[in-house]
Amino acid sequence: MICCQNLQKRYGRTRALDGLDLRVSPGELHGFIGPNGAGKTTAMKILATLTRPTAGLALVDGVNVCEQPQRARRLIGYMPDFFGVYDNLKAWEYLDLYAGCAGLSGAQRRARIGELLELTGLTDQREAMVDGLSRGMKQRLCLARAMLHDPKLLLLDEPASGMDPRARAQMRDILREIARMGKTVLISSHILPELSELCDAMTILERGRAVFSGSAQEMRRKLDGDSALIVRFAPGMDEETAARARERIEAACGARAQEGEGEWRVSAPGDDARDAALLGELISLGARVCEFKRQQATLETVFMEVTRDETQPDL
Amino acid sequence: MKRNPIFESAARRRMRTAKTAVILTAYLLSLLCFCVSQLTRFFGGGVTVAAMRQGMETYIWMTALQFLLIVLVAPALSAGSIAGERERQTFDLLLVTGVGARRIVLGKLLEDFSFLALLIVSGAPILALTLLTGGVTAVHLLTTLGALLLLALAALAVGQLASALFSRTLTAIIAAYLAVFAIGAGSWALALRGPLAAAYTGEQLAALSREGAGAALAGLPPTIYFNPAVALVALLASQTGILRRTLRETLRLQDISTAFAAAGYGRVALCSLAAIAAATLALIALTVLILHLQTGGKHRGHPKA
Repeated sequence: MICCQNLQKRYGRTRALDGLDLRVSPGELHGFIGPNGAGKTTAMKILATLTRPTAGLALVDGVNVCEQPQRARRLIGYMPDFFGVYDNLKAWEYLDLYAGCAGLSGAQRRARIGELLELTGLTDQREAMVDGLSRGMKQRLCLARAMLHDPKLLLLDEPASGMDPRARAQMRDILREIARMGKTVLISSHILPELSELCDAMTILERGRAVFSGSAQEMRRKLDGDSALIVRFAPGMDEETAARARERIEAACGARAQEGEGEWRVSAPGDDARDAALLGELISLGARVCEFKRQQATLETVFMEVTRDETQPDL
Repeated sequence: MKRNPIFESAARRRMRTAKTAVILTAYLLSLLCFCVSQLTRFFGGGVTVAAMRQGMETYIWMTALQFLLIVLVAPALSAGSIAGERERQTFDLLLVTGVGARRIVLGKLLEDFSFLALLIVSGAPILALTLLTGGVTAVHLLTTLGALLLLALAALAVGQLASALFSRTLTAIIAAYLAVFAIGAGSWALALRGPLAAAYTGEQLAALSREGAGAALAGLPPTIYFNPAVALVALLASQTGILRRTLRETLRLQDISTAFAAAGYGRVALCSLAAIAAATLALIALTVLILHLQTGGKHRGHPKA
């Protein structure tokens, strides 16, 4: 659905995008993650036909966004990272304006606005003034606006920024619903966990380049690979048992155990069958295991890892 | 005609604000107070020459007032139209709907124009009070109203061009005022002193009136037709006859006034209005073109704010 090759964008001497490659398959909910200033918004604006890249190719459903912007605009729904609402306008009138601009006829508009208010849970706010809506409601209204012309692809730039947890949860539910409708969604965020359970695939962006790109499974495998086994023993275990327990653990995991505050920590990929066998062995040794758990690396740690080389200031 | 959603939405928003009601009320009240203060003593006194004279003068003053309103309000009104959308960041949202530059320009212009037209047309009944003293006819009133509406559209078109060219509202407003001032003063100065000026000798002036209206019209410096004040003064002069003396004696525009007289004030007004109408259409087309180039197939990217 989206195909970007070596996308570059320079603002004067700043490189906002530095050879971005991005592929999003149809029907996919694709997370677009990166710290602030990594170029997410720029990439989205290029795909939304609002900015021209300095170099490179950007296709949406096979349409070159630079050469045929009007055709591309019919395919995409763009929700920027600001509200862009007017004063003195009711929610339905706000949607009516953009529906009219998108060329929907009167009857189509009414039906479509009704559907989208329903989808975004704003039916009760139909007659409310836009500038009086809460932040979360405004954001949902903007999402409804992006979907008025029933686009195949949605470009959502930080749709959950500045929302409270409840509003975030609502937004997540709406996004799941949209994904069920078969839309392709590219959603950006600088907060990883926000997207981790939601997305089918993700791309991590750093300084205008993709540093990781893959399915959510690959991401999770990467996470598993970085997980750690934590074993804690009840106090009062003799030294011999402790030494043998350590031996077994290190043999099973193939890594050195680090001791601290009464618990041992082994960084090693997880394997449920092996972990279960190891626990059995430890107990049969007479080790007084009181805690045996696997701690997954959070997406944050992976994120930091993946972007580490880039985030170090090069002095 | 296809409905323009941008016009509808903007009109709705404007009519919802208290500001609009206040402006309209204040404007009509001041017009009414002026008119009544000038004319009350003549009401019921029958048709006298003094009453006619007073009626015509009041009519001229009120037209001038409306003209002043247009010149002062219109540029600022339309200069904010496109630049304001850019500043509010709603411009991108309009663009991604695929709505073309033409509909954005026409929708915005039409909405600003409707507001000015509301002011001008709702002032018409007050202007019509001058009918009671005699001297002014309904046809005069309607013609002047039409001319004022055209001038309003012209001033709005200038402001909107500035709005398309500058991304900040304030810059656009300043540019629009400068442009309106330049058109007014520039066309006059060019006509009087510039390279296009006609330095009439006594013989030439005599020749102008001998050769007939067509030759006289063609003999006038062409830039003068683009001056909106000229259009209005010539129109009022042709209707009332009062301004002819003002032109000649008060403003000491002997040449121009003689040339106007030779060509016929009505004809000068007509030519001038036609020239302004053509220029307005050209300005609107230019604005559409500029906006299309900025946003369409070959647009330049705007740096991130």
